Amino acid sequence: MGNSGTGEAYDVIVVGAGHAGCEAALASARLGKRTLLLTINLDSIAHMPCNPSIGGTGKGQLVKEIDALGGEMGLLIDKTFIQSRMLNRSKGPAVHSPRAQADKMRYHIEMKRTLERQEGLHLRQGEVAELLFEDEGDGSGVGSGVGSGTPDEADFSAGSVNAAVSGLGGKARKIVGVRLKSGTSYPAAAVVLAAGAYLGSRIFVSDRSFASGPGGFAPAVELSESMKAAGFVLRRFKTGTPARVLASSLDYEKMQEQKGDEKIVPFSFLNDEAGENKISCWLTYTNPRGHAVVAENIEKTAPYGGYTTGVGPRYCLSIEDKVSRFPERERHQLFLEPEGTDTEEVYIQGMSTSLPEPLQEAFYRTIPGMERAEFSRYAYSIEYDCLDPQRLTPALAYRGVSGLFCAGQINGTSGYEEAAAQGLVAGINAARGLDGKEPFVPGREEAYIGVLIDDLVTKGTDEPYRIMTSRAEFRLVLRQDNADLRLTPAGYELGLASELRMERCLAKKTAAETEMARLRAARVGAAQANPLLSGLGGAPVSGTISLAELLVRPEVSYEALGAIDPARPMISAAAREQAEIEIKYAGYIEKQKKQIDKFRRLESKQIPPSIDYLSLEGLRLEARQKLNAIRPASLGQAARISGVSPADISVLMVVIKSL
Amino acid sequence: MGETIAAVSTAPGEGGIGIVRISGENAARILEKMFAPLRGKAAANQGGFPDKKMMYGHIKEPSSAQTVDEVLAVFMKAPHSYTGEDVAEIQCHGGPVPLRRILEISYELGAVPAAPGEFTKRAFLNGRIDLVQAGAVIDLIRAKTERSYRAAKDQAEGKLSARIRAVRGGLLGVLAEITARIDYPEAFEEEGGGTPDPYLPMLKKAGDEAGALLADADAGRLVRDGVRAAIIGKPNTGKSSLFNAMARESAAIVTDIPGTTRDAIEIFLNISGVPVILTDTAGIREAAGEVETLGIRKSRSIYERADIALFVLDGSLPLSAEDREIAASLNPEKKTILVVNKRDLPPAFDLEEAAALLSFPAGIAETSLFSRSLPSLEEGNGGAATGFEAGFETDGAAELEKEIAGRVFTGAVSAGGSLLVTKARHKAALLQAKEEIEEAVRILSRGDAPEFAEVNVRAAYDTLGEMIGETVTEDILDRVFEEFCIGK
Repeated sequence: MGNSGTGEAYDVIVVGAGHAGCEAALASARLGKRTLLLTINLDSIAHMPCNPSIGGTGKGQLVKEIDALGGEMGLLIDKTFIQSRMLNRSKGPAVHSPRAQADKMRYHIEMKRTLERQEGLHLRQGEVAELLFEDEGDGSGVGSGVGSGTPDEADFSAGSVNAAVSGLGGKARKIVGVRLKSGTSYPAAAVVLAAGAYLGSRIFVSDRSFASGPGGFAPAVELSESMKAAGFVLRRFKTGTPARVLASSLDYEKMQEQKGDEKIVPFSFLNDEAGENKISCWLTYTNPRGHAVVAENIEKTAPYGGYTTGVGPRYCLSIEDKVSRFPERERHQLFLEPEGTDTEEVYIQGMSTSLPEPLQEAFYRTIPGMERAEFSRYAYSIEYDCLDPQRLTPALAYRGVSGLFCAGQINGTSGYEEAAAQGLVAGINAARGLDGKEPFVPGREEAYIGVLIDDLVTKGTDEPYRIMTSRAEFRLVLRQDNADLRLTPAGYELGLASELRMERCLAKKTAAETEMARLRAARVGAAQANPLLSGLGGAPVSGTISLAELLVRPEVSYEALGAIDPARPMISAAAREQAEIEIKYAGYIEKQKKQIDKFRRLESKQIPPSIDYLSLEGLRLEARQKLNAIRPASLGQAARISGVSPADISVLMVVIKSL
Repeated sequence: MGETIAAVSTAPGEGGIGIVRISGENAARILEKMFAPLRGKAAANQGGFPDKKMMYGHIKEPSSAQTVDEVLAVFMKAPHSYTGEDVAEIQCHGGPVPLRRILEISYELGAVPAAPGEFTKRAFLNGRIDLVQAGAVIDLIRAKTERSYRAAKDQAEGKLSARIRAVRGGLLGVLAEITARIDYPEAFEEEGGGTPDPYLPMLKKAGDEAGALLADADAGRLVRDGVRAAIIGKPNTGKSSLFNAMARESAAIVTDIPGTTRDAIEIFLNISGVPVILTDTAGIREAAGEVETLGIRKSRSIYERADIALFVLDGSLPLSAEDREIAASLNPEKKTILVVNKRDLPPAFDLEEAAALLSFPAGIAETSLFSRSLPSLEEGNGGAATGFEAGFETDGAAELEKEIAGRVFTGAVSAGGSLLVTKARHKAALLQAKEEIEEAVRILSRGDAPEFAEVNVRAAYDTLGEMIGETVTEDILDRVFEEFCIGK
């Protein structure tokens, strides 16, 4: 307990300075809250212990949404990327996904500098060992109220209403601060827990394991223990990272070069242009000889040897998983991604493993171009504690502990972007909670951030959760190109998106709408349209046709249309793109908007928080228990809980009406 | 309140009248599209239906404008209706056939099947039922859900759910392919561009399977409710003889029902286990004592209600203008059997000539030629009076029965499958799924990106899932991770 002195009080304390913690702390400080950001090691700020890249399918959309709301990730990757690509360019705009290779060290430095310079934000090195609570309604100060929970009070699984409402051992509590390992306590009105993969983390290589955070940083062991003691139920997840090798030891001649895009789309809506590609990535393949090395030694890997039990992600298979689950495949693809311009280190994407280190060398060196690879870091698996996100409200508040918010890997997710998105929302809501304002909860129909959070708190997850475009049922409207139009007004309203950002958003909107109206009104005759169409392999028209109607045709792009559109105004590339997409795919977009209207009908029906599900006889027992455990905010959310049937929703409607 | 719902609101069984109830904001629009008033047209056409006025008219097929049934319809404006929403109620002649068809038409026009107890639930939510009754409403929802769950389970244990699952399995495969390629593009970026996307053939296969189930659905309805067959043709072609022969052959009961609105004579036959209601349209004309050639015009409504028509020609006389007139007025969509009668007399035309009468472009394949000919009687002139009837008493009627059965059960059903889809709700789901699949095929064929088609494929997948009580979206990702080797 804290008896080594009390530090100054803060409005909001953020625990952990990874991608979630940084966004949370910046948001909180920018919303005017006195904020303290604590991290085990200042050199691990915004660290990328795995892939040196940001964005990708679904993830790129998240980054653009974070940016649209006034977050930091997009701006920093625009500053520090060394190669950028728009994935899925061959498909429609709804799934275009930006991804950039980051200069890992520079990203860390830029984020550290941003935090240091942020007004109202204190950045400090310090390991949090304990969260401090007091019983809700108990007015005593930090010293006396500390750690009042005892383990036996923690009874999450029991069917008691109180346990579920309070989240922790039957008693509603509120957070009052944190205590550091050094003994100092800091009082705070709200805490954002963003401990990442550091909570009780252990690294596994073959049959060896040791306490360690990612990338050799120290683990947060005491915090894990004190949280368990306070009644939090922690789960054990697992992930892994491949080895790093030195570029100078690789033979790129034997690999396929993968260059960045010629025309780079920036992540931040504040940037019209981004810099240039500085490096290439390289593609190569494993072969049966390498697979044999893995197969022969599979018992020496941590999971197959039975040395780990944590749940790993299915979308991030280790080479031992790939070889044992897909034995018919003769080769597996891998990408070599340079980690920066100031280092020779190269990340081997697709090849995580927990083989013993000498066998890692033997295996990797069977790969064409890697025969003489020199290793700077070996691959490892890592296990860590995390929470069940179904314990959270859609605002990312921990139910039953007022003032406690959780974000990032501790909520069972994986990925820097997923973490940053949650951090932003948790930071915003920690700040708003102190002002007595309604939480900011973007819906599934508004943002990938909404999909991510709703999936977590409503459905939970049994493996490290990664966003994917296929998780977004309304992805045709949740595009990377319109994240600003979707979210910047909300970000501005929150007080996070700047004037400049809002002005740019409105200018783009107006320009796009004006151009759409012009394209719909402007008509050309067959004499003009047909030569263009025949050149593009399209069927001719007769009479006149509007430019918008021409644009709807698959073969006609906005650019191609320029040949017969001399009156075209000079507008920004972003506005042009918006007008083109909105006209070209109008049919699909309209249809999706109708689906969204239907979706919102159930979503807008709020469930009173006080409802006592367990006594609702009309509900089946399973539905009662699930609803009681998750406590959905709306009928829409209730309907997404597995085990809750349409008839249960009907009954709930009647119950709510008669309350 | 969301979707407009529809259901049969009278107890199942052979009631005197049946009521289809439609509730929701589109109730008026749906009624308007299917209902043609016979009196008070002006009122209905000017600014919607009159509130709570019983109207007399016909329910029409939306595609062909053919009459389904003669009905009374009433429209009740919100909030003064049972549910508190706009409500349309259609009273038809009862009996499962028109009732079911009217319900199906309401689904085709945009209504969705009402969930168990949903009318009452809406009534409650809209304040039309007392708060005290909330518990009763919940009990009702529960009870009805249990009942329909049991019914669904019976079906689920049968072949239907197996076949639905097969279609869903195909769709899941498509979804997994699309998802894997979109969310893991790099895993598919092989040198040289890799293989073309496999979605289209997979989708077409799923669409065909859904189509076969739908054909089955039609047959299922017929099996359950009976097939309506009408004998048509100009006077004196031997329609009544045919009717009587059929009646005798099947040892069926001949019911004489003069004086009803139908004024028709019907017999109930049992053909391969399927109830067939055979109507002799000649009965009408002769009962009315009319000698003139009103023929098919007079019998039009009976013809339109029929699932299958037996078009009778007199084989002993050359084809007349009247035959041609009737032939020209036939619905190409309707299953028709051409019966060339009196083949015991010297033939006045050959069968090709008769077949050529029915020149409907698409319908010709649906039409078969039934020829009654008795070789022993074709020689000479013996047995002119009795031979014909005798022919029917032996294998003639049996052959015609076989022909009727063949016309009713086409495609997958006749190939030996059992009849599975018997509920209007299921048919609505299948129809929707099939349309979504077809739309997805159109989108991909046009060259648009797969994520656009994915919306439709997923809708089809979910619809079929609801039908058999399986709705889990997570299984798409399960499939992706099972089938594709994906990792960083």
